[in-house]
Amino acid sequence: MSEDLDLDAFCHAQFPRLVRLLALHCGDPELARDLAQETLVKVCLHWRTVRRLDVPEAWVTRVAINQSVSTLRKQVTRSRTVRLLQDSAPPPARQLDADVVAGAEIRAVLAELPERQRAALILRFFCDQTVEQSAATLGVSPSAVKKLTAKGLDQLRRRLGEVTADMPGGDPR
Amino acid sequence: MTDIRELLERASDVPVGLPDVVRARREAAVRRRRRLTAGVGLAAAMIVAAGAGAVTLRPEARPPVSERPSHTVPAPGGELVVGREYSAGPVGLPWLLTAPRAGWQVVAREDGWVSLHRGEQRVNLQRWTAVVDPGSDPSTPADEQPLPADLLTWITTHPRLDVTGTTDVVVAGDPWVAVDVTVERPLRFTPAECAGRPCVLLGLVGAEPVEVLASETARIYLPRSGAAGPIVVTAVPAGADLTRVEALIASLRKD
Repeated sequence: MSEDLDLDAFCHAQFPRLVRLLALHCGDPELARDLAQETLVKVCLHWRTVRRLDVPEAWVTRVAINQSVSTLRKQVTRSRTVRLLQDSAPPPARQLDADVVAGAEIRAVLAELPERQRAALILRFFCDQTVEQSAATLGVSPSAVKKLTAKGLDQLRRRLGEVTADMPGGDPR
Repeated sequence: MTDIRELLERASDVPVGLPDVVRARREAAVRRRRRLTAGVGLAAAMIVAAGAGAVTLRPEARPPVSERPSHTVPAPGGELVVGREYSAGPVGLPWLLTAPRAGWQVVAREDGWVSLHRGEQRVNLQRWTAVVDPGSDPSTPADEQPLPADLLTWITTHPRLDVTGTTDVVVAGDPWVAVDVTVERPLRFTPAECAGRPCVLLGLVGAEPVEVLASETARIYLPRSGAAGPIVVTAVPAGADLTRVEALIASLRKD
């Protein structure tokens, strides 16, 4: 019974974080919620292992990112079509709110970055992972994470202009 | 002027909603049972079909009833009854096993994996679906790779394992090899899955990693041909003897 309570508490604690990081990664809040829910299924499936981990959040983050990558790859054609339709349609009423527009714009710019650069930025600056933790999550070396982060920041700076003028450098930690 | 953390915070400010943990649990349970229920579903379909055609079917056309007295391996938490024959077939492993001694507890019974523990002794009957690439740089994590054509060679040449011996054995009537391994020292990288204990990840059963702890001696049983298929991974604390584990392996028969 206590294991059940732990699992419930863990899922409830992780879900908001997962939705937000997946929204950054996949760019679509609705898809992010679906992917977060699917991640919870995997948590339930592997709870026996997950609950023993020192940092179960890291495992969950990796699963979530992998799912997002996999889904985006499978749906790449459909996503492009959807984006084209969205570009040509008039902005929905809720986008009149300046913060919502800004958030959506930033997600759109993030979505244009190469997938690993985007993931590295999210892990480093949204999940606050160290270089080593991000390397473990992405399955690459720490030096590769530093390069991905530097390139991602550079791209983001160029695309977003002066709004990102005080972004940190490529190797902040 | 905005820094990247603020930007990401703003971009991630989306309606979150609540998780449906009940649905997640249910879906996980369904996936766990999928393989089992596939067999049951087939049997049910046959019974329904037989029922629908009851007028024309002869009694001998009914699905044959198994005469085998074996039991399915108990659910996790259950203990093997000494001398009783169990089948690992429902989870895709082609073996019958019999516990020669009391105390063997089922810790996992999933598709392609039965894990039995007796104190600190572990016997894992497994069908790996992939391996974890040991990588050339031991300080970095590694990626999942397809199963190699020759698993025996892959294990005996694994850069993060020290092979301390190989022995020809017979498992379920077939010529197999038992490979004794320990984790390399020093181990410069410990994956997150090791839960803080130094370990090396070898294979994957679905998404579940198969680990060898640095504090253990592991014995991996696999076909001498190296061909892919079910294997047995056992482990005991370093220095402990494998007699009890070997006795359980010796009970394996083809299902």
